[in-house]
Amino acid sequence: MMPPSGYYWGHYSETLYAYKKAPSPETLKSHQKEIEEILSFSKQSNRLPPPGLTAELGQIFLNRGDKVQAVAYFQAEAQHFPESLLLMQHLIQQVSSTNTESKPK
Amino acid sequence: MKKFASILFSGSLVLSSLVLHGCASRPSSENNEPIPLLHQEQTKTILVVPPINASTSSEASNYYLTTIARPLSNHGYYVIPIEVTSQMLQEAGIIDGSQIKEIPQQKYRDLFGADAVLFVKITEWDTSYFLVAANVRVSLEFELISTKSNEILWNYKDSVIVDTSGGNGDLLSMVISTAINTANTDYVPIAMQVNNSALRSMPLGPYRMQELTEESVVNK
Repeated sequence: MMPPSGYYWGHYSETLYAYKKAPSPETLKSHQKEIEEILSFSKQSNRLPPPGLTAELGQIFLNRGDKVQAVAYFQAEAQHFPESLLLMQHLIQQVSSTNTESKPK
Repeated sequence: MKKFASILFSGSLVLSSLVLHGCASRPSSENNEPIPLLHQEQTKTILVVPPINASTSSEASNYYLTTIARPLSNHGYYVIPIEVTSQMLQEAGIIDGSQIKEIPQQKYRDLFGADAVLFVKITEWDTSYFLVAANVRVSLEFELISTKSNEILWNYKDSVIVDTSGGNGDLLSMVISTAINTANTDYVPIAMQVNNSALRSMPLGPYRMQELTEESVVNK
């Protein structure tokens, strides 16, 4: 069997463009769905996900106020791509520093 | 993310006194082909900042940014998540690349972990109309700048013009079909064409080489 090579991008550019062209909860939702499908397909087929997409999904969750999911995706991006570690750590730090007041552990 | 904005600004003041010098002589490989500076510096991670928009379209930058992550990543580089960094920069009041062109490049290394910053200048993102024809043009200038040496690692400029005039019947139907075709012509696929021709002149990045190597090893 040929090893899978290259990233799988699905319709990433198209759904992102559709969202930019007409920003709405619907176009954002379909872009999010597309990223989720790309990530799960990449995992299934043993590929590295396209750079940045895992973090982008984290940002979508963060913008919606879901900090737990956001952090998980930021961590995953840093795991896949150590180059992103600095920025991901920075994002995670900011999320958790705003977390402490509302949700003390 | 507001905290980040203040770091960016305060840091830029401190660092503006820093002057970095590029090296004058470049090593070359055995066959005397100069080793691309991109490889000399082991460039891996690229930050794409908001384009410098010199076109007549206010939406050009926003739309353009949807086209570049994919070809640049496939070319072998780690592209720092554009949607994430664009939002951070936007929250810091930066929506056009010209606002940060003067910031010392080192800043992008310290804050984003970038080896290089890609500035794209959109010089045309326009349609010119004639009676029975229209040209849709996208012209881009690329400049990849090192955060280590401040040197230009790669640059390129190109434009693609698409003639959207259609039909060859009577004048009225030609006018109508030109209008319809032009309305349907998206700039984004044209920008993608410009990206592709531009990237052909850019040395491949390390991820691309890894992929090819892995494949050839397994196929043996």
